[in-house]
Amino acid sequence: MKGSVDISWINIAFGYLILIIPFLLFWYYKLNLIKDSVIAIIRMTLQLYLLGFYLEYIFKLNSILVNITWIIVMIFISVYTTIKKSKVHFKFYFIPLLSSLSFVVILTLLYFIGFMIGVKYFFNTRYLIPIVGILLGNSIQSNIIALNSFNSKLKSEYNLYQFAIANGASKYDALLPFIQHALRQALNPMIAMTAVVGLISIPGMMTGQILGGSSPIVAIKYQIITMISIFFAKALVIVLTLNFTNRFIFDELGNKRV
Amino acid sequence: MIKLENINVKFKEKIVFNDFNLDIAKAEKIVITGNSGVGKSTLFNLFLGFIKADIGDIYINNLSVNSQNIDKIRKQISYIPQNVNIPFNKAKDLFNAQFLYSKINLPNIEKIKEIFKDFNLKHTILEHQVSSLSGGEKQRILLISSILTNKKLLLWDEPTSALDLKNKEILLKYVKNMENITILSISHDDFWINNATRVVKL
Repeated sequence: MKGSVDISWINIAFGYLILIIPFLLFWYYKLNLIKDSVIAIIRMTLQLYLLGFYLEYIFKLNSILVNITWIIVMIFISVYTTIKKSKVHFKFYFIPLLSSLSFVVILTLLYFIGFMIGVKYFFNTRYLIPIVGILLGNSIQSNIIALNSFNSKLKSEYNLYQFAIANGASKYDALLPFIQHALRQALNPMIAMTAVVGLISIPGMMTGQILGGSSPIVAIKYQIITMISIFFAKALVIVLTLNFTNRFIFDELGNKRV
Repeated sequence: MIKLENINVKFKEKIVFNDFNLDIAKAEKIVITGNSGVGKSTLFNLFLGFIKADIGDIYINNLSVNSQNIDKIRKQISYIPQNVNIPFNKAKDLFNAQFLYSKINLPNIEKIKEIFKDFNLKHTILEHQVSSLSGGEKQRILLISSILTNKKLLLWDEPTSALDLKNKEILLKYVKNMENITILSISHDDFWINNATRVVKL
């Protein structure tokens, strides 16, 4: 496997220069987007630079302890991001989200790295860190959609929930329409994305691998495994998140706390 | 059937119940009335465990309303809210809901046809979308299913608010025949109040 051609920092500087054109367009159309764009690009640069720096270091180390710490930190950041973006109470959502994400990440890693890719050394940084990143990124997205749809439907149709429990429905039956709605909302984009992958765009990870020197056939195999693991992780994480949170957000009489 | 002992309920600074007591015997047909804001709906919310009393005990069928008993208690109750705009898809779903929730067998179609006819409805209305029904139709569908559940305690919030006199009389006829059933309704309707076995004015 040969590596790709390195890009010089001077060439990257020319890369930034071309952004003048979109900025001029923003200015021409009075979009007020220049400040946000500049901040976004500076953030992107710093974050990636730090990530590259860090990854270079931990790839060299290839240590179990560092990798596990990295995964734990990533899971905590994911939980925090999900709570922030879903605008929910930390108190009720922290433990359920932490449990569902950790469980799904561990299970998916065991199956895909341990069994399907079958690497000899499970804690190999090259496999572990990128896959955890992809899994968490996708799980956060689905969890946010699921929690938002669940909570907004429950809020607007709380009378349906109350009607159900008042007339003897179990919590499971009373919440079923809300869970179904949230699952559909969160899963539909994933199913749509899975169906068109490779048709309208080459997935980022595959692009990266091809640029990195892998053969396209090897790259698609990894992509297929990645898509399956994302599918699996998303579906499972949403179901678990909704079920775990429902143990925390209702009081002992079945009334929603907040 | 229902016993409230020294109930105190306060919302922020507003005292709704202060040492309130009420005893309801089996098979009574009670109408609770009073101005808005006096706590009529709060009373239902207490029975259903939607809110907790700050002080005092509530017993339904000798079971204290608490987290251990709440599922058992709710299974004995049929509740119809004041706002009958419950987001169901078809009229059939609105009608079936109470049976499905409590895992009670649906009544047979002949029985359904007969009671729907009494209430001046065609049973084929069950195939319609809820969104196309009038308030009165939704109210009658809910009342019919409440009656057919054969539950021992019925809580109806403003059950006649969208009914004309003819349908009110039909409902009263059914209520009078339900000898072993306790019915509590919240109402401002003189017709309904005048036909209660007891009126509780809050």
